[in-house]
Amino acid sequence: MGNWVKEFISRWNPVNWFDEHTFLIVLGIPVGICGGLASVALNHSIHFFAHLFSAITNPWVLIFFPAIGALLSIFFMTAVFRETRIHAVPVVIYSVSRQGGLLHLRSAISHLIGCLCTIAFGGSAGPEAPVVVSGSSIGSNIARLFCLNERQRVAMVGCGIAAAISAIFNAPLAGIIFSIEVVLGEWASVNLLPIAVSSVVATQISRIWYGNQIPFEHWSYQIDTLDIVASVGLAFLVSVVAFVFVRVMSFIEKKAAVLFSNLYIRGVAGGLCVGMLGFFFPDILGEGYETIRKIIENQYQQPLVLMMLLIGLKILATSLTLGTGSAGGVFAPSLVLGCFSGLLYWQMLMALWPDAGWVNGGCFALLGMAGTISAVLHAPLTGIFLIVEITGGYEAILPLICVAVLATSISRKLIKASIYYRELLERGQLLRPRTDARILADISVRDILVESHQHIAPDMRLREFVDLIKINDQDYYPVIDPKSGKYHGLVFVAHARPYLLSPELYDAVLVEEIIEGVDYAISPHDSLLHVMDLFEKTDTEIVPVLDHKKTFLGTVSKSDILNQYRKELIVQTTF
Amino acid sequence: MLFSRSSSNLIEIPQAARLLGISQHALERWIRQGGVPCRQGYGRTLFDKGELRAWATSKNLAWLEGENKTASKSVDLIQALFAGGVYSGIPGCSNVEVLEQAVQVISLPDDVDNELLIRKLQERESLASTGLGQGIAVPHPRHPLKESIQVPMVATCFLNEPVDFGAIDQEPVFVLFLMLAPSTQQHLKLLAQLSFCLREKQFLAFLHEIPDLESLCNRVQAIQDQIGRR
Repeated sequence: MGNWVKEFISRWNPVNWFDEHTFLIVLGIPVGICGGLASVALNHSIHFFAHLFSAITNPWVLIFFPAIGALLSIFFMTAVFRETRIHAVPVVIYSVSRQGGLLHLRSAISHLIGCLCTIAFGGSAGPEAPVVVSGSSIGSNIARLFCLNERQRVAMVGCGIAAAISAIFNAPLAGIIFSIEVVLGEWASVNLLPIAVSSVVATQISRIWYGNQIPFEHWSYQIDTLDIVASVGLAFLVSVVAFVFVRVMSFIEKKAAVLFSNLYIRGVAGGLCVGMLGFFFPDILGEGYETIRKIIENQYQQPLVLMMLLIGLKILATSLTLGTGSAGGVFAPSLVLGCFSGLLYWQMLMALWPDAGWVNGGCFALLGMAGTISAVLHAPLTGIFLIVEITGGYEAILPLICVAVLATSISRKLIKASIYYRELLERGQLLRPRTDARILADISVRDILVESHQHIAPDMRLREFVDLIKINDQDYYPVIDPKSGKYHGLVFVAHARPYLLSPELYDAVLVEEIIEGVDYAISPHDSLLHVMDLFEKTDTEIVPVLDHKKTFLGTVSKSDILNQYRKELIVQTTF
Repeated sequence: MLFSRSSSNLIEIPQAARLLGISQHALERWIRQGGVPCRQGYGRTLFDKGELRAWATSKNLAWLEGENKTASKSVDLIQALFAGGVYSGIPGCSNVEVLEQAVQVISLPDDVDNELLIRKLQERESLASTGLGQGIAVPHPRHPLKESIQVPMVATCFLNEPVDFGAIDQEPVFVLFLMLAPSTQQHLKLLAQLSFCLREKQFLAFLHEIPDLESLCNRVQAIQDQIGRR
């Protein structure tokens, strides 16, 4: 961006013309348009390549396809776009919680191209997460263009996410809810309105392109009480599937990183494995929407054992694709897994109690999808609304709610963090809004540093110290060598009381003999979490702050932290 | 339009941070995060004071206007001596008389009712002598004159001839340090600082020379500096 553009915008920034809320709502429109276009473009490209490669029928060639896709994907992501972190959604969540939603402009296309290579060549991954990154990067950079502050920028990132999900699924509500429930983590009206606008615009863009069609047409269902009761069992099944999925994914990711240090070799190895699995079971390849369509329309029949195998293989194929460095998301694979699980559960029910009048397998597939999404993402609302919108299956809302909510609770017991939060949690970077960790992460030592102190020299006699405290009302004094500037410790007036009341000691005691705070100190860059820890361990109220050369900068007190913490809490939680 | 210079209600970051009782560093972060209402442009940030106060009040945040924290914390004897001034040749032969004469001579803030002040000083004197010994007395009212005194002041009044104040050591008083402070804490701090100076024999001898305001303040500064240096 040229300097004159910046100059122009800072002079004529329309932010100053509207009130904040109105402006954010207006800005939701361009973010929605761009996000919608990005998702349409990716969808189009995937279809184009799928059509192109459908001419290749030789299965022996197809074995090598996922490996080629992985190679291209990794090449574009690392060599061309220099993205350091491949997992798409965690990048956005981290940026929202820690960097005020700051994202590179290049992320708007890097993940799209990376993911296109993966999916078009048959890798088992979904296109949603990359579109989410693309949408949020568009939102973030539009916000930057208008010099918005961090909270407003986060709202724009939320708009981008909602636009991406809404457009790719033709599901405006799911977009809004995914954005708020999974990524932003706080339901504030300042976020909600622009996100809703953006979601509507993006959905309309996608409808202009593809027409208003529901992605997966379903038959109408007759849901009985028995079906609702049976859905409880399905919740358990999908939770277990989600648990295995998350575990296998994390295992393969760690194992692959140990086995192959070279990114390309790692990707090719993963791709070859996926290719071989796909050679025998082509249903597990790609994003898998064709399979979902068949299952929902009840045109997919496999023996029970094969269904179990397919679930295992889909988990394996997705983990091998995403765990070895290819770009892509877990959204679509989770839906496929949910479909398989739902169908499997229905088959088991039919085998156990054939004449109970169960609703058809397509309906259970649909419930399974809602359950798996909820369990994998720990996001029940996203699961419910997404499935209702993409299948038009509002008749199934009651068992849907049961499965989604139950699966989330069970999954929360089984896995500590959802697939998106796991990576951040391991790095200690999971900072959800309005949490203690987030507030402590925001406050820095510099915010609460008290600098102006009367210093005293280590060889000061107690008599002189008594004279000093008569005219100076500090509660404690840092002891600093006046020549070398070296910090010795702190003298607390309250703790020195026994000496102060014994005049016979006045000439016998030097202040360096009554110092404290010698063996603990913090640096200005320490996190408040660490500082609070130190307070606990040392049982003190005040800690000295030293820089890397051990020069005394000031002190931090517990009461100042409490003061700032309360203010921070108020500012962050009220709008 | 954005920053109309005519409005005196616009304040900058340091002042806003002081009013909110947070560090500048923290306030700059709030601005970046968008937590606080401000106006940005031309590379600077300004706050509308009224708007900021309304925002702080609506959020139950402290608003430190009027409560001058630093003033109540650090009371400087030298400043108080300057505010009070030095007067010599106060006539009178009893403590009641010299107090009356002293109040008439020294320049007090307009709000102070001289008669009332004299009555209050004499009342305090009748309870217990304010003579500290060695010829020094520190007359003051029992309760601080909150309404009429805004700045702490110590008026130094050298008497025409020493007067008996009923001090502990029975020595007649030759100088009054008339102390008027807005609060009890400030009064106590002034008293502490003064008594610290009076411990020095040389300072007492110096007072007998009846110094002018400037040399008195310089001397007090020198005594206080000694401690700071050590």
